[in-house]
Amino acid sequence: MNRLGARQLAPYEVVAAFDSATVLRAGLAAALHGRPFPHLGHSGGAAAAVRVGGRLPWPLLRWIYTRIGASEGINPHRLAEVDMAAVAQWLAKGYPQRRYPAALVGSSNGALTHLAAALQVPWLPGTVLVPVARSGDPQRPVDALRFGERFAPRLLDSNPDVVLHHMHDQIQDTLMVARMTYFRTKWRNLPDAYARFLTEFLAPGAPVILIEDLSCWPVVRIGERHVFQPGAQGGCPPQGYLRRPHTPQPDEEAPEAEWGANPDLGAALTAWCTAHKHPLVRVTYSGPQAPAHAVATVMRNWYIRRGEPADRLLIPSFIVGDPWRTINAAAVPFWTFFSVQSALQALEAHLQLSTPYRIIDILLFQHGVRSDGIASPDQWLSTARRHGATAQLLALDHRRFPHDIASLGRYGHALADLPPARRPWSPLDLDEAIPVLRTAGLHIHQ
Amino acid sequence: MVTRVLIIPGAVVRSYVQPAADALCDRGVEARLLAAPGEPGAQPDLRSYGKELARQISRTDPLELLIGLSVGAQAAAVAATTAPSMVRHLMLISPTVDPQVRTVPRLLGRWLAGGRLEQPGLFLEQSPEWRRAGPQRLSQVVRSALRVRIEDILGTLRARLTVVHAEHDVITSHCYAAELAADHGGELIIVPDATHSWPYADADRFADTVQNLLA
Repeated sequence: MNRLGARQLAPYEVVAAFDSATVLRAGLAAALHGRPFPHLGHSGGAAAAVRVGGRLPWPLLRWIYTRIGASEGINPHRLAEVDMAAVAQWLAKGYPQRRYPAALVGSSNGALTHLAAALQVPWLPGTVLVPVARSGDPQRPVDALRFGERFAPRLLDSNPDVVLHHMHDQIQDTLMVARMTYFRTKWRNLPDAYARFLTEFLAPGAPVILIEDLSCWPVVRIGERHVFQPGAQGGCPPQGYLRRPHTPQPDEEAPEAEWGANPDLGAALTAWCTAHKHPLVRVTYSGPQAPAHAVATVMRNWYIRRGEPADRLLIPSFIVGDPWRTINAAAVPFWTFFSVQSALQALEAHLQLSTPYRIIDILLFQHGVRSDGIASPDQWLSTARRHGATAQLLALDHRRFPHDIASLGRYGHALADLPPARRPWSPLDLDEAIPVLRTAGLHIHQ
Repeated sequence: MVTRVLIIPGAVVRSYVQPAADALCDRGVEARLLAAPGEPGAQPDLRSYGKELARQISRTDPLELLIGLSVGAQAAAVAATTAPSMVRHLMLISPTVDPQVRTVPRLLGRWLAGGRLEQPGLFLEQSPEWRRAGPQRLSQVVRSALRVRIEDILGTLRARLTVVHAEHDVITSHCYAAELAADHGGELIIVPDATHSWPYADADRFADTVQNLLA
């Protein structure tokens, strides 16, 4: 029972299986268990079903994909049964219980989860997506806002430690938002479960690394702990959403719903570190794509020091990736937050700044729609080849892009087939990583 | 430079480690492969094996490095903590027994699963040694392995500790290896594309790894 006396939903019933925080956390947990992370952590049977289903004609597959995705949405009348404290406990308990030399807390970021895997340290997410069942016209964000006004208080009253960033992206999530709506919740205090985990499993004096993506987005303020965000980070800037019809006009900016950091969590974590004599390392950047170059640079230096050629670049995409396999193949990860033009430009910049790679392997998350600002497989390939690399798309039938859903069931095999690293390795040392991250452009405050 | 290194192989078999030990010797490291726990003439009880080894090494100069593989890691841990001033560096490779499988059926299940990942030549190479040891000695080693808990022993370790985990080792979990290293101030080393029987058929990489540690 929660504080209002309602029965609680189990954490796995509350969070979305396709959520960046949940999946990136699961991929990192697999790496700390020393396990690969194929098909987003789902069973082999589910992966086989996805591979078979992926051969269906897209109109039929789209119908199935939308309904399966929508089935994750929880009944809005049960939002009072959501217990975010239990979700925090579930997230923390997924990590192996051993003494860690550091821990990350805060914004979701796939580049930094690869770094955490190399460090062999956990990351505790600051934001989690709670998908809520709702049928509606994707092109009418204002209706989603009204829905949130009506139902969100149930969630917020039961969970005083979170703020709600209700997000509606009719461009990139158009298939999903027809049948669900995205309640992204951000902790504004350090959840008790996180504090217990840090107390129990951090080595004495080990640093806590606060990850703060400072990116913001225009929002409509609904309540003290409730904002509505039209659109989301991706291929289209905020104005591209705001000028569309039926879009509520914002009255302020707030941390971006999916990636942005809530400053109150940072303040709470800072206080906890002071009280428990753990140094705080604050990593700040703007936008989810920002850390990829710095992380790739650190990883490449680390591989070279291990005696690896470090001439293979692997491009994980959104939630499609596998930190454990990447490290054991000595592949340099350049994580991209979505297959969009800004991510493609970031890759171009990385390749311009780096010693040429011999091979570039590209994963592309399939979100099902040819949305504004999307980057096509050919654009990824040509960017890689322009810098002299042999480039290939991993696990993707590029004729089906951007709806080769079966690639989710194939990428694990493709990564397993990468040639293994040659040299034994020990976890990356944080003290070695920080100066390189800083030199490569990340803001790190100690 | 001459360095004294002793290697304790896994249960009742040692020939699979000989090329790795030879590779070290070829590089000028004075390395000796000891009898396998449970092979004819050697103690099948890992605690007794380790204590006997501690007595032997106490009569000489301190060891630079003591390496234990699989159940040999348990015997090595006993030796290093019984004669703490005589071992400078302890290296546990694929240490057993993972607490999650500390029953005969579970351990057997993991061993069978691990066998499927090993190179086909390993079984053929080890069969004569399994036969020579016989089922009784083998079962004594297994029973002993289930009793000797490295995580309890290492509390009194004074030597530098390195724990080596093979990427595809399914008998010893990554978590157990990482926990042993983390809880006892040790270093964790992961060997990509290797199995529980590492350094079988990987002598050069083994020699490189040991040389790096000794450097």
